[in-house]
Amino acid sequence: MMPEIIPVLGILGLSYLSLSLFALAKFGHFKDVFNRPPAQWQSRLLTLFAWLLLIFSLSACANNQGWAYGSILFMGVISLAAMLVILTLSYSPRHLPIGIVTGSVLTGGLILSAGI
Amino acid sequence: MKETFFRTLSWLHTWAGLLVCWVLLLIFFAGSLSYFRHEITQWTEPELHQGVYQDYQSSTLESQLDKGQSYLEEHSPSSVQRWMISFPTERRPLLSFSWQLPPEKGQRRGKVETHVALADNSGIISEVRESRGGNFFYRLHFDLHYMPAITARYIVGFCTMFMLIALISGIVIHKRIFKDLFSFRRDKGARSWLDAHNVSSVIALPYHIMITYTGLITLMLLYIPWTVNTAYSGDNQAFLQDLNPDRQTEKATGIAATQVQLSQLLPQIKATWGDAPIKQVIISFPKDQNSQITFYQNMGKDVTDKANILIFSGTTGELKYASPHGASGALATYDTMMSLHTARFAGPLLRILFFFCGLLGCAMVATGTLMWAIRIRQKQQKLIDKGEKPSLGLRLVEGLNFMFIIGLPLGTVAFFYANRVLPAHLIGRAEWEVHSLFIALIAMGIWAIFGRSRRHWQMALMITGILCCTLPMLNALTSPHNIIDNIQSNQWALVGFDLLALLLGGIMLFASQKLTLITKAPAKYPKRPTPNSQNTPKSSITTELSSSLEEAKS
Repeated sequence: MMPEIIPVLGILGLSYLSLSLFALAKFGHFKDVFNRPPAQWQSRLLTLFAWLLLIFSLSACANNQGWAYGSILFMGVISLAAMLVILTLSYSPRHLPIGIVTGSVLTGGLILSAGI
Repeated sequence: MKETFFRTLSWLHTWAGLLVCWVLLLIFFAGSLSYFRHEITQWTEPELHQGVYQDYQSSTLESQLDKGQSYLEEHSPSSVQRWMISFPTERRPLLSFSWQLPPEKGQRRGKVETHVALADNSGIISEVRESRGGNFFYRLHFDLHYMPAITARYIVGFCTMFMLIALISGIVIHKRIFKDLFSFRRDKGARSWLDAHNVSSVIALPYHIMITYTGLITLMLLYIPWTVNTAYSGDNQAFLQDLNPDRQTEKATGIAATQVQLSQLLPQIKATWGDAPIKQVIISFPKDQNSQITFYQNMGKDVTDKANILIFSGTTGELKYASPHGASGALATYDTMMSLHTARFAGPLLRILFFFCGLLGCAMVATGTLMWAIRIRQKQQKLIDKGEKPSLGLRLVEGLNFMFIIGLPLGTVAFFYANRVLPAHLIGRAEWEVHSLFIALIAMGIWAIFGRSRRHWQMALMITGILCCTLPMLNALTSPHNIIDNIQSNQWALVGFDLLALLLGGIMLFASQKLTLITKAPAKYPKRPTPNSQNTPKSSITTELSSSLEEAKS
């Protein structure tokens, strides 16, 4: 189990990042987190990066686990990541940036160490 | 036109969901637990918690086969239909020898008796308490209980179809599916329930659609038999033979013959399969002229449900059948769908994720029906305040909600307690474990007749939570090892069981705690300030949606 868990944690981190950017691109959530509405270019940029990260995490998953297994695993990971984003947003939205920073550091480290 | 369309679909969503929700909850719940079928079985056999776990080793195969064969020859009754030797796998790390007795009158399958080898080769454990373990939840998922399997499967299929309808209509009426993807507004009464319902449905939506659709596919030949009937002019046996060419049709001859030595077949297997691990060997009609030996390969993480097998003659050792490579498009599609549903290929992490998605499915069903009850109660509140009784429908739904949402987890916990507390030699022990689940369920139903208010929910949740949290303690007291020993000896299945019990119990206690706060401060609750501003454009749409739901119900 241990060798499997490291790349999957990396992919979870990536999906969390991607989905939090998706959330931030939305008016209400951006306001909850930063206390001001997002400019339109900010929303668009966030959505763009979110998509890129989402595609990247799917390809990382497929790369690491094969397309058949990887794409199924990805569906599970993305659901868990979405749950985590929702919990962050609903219980302490102000901490989402911290979550994003921790997520990216964790993801970067894990991806480098697992060599996805 | 558009308004009527949405209204009609809202109506459909509400009633399709409400009609089958409690059976669906049971199906979802049992199905989610079935992801841990073997792990649950392992937990329910504490006799096997010590000294039997071993890893698969190809170097010991030969001696294990010889040992198994001589043990089975010596100990199994002469009337047996099958011998089985199961090698350690990732999820069932033990070597077992078993045999299947001929079916008793009225039964389709004969009873299987299993003996397990000690890992250090010093002996065999033959006395294991009678329990259906994880297999019970697996069967409950599609065969229900206390009724013929075929009837149950029609009921399950009916409910699944309604589930599919509810899912699709739900997607259509949820107008802001992506915009509200991450919105969960806490502590806002009915709207929070709607958010919870949406969140649990949407974030695992691919899973919900997949599991519902493939669920129908698994039993499609039962529900739509006409294609097969037409193509094979009603000859179901011929169809099954074409579908599974490895199916044994020969009966026992009754003429005794010498059984070939299993270990002699290993070189042939190695020549075909290389070093791929073997999962199981089944010898049908041992010591009969028509005896047949089937080797099953351990398929690991391949997304398939099809067994890769080699069949040998039991008397001559001649290779009779080998699974072909590749399959027709239709068969491959069917196989992929089956395997997606059963998830036999899933490694531990994916299994946990599937379980998580399954629980989200339970949450989706539960929040949906709770929301219905809350809405209807709100509507009737004025009349209730005047001293009138809530309507029969409302009382019924509230009661069934209480019964199933609390009763299922409580019943499961009761099942595990019964597994450890009932005397080991009680007659019909396995059945009594199952009865205890349904007794708990019915007890909750009776409780619901007398009270279903928040205070009752809070108490029932607390009892269930405490019982669930004490499962690790029960395990420590009634099995040779506790959780710390199991961590030290890397028994992750048993550790996982305990941790999951703590986690789920913890969630129930948290929910109970939350209800206490609400009951104590009912006046404060709707006015609690939240970071979400009421004036964001979201809220208007949600109110619109909920009002359209309301209208649909009236």
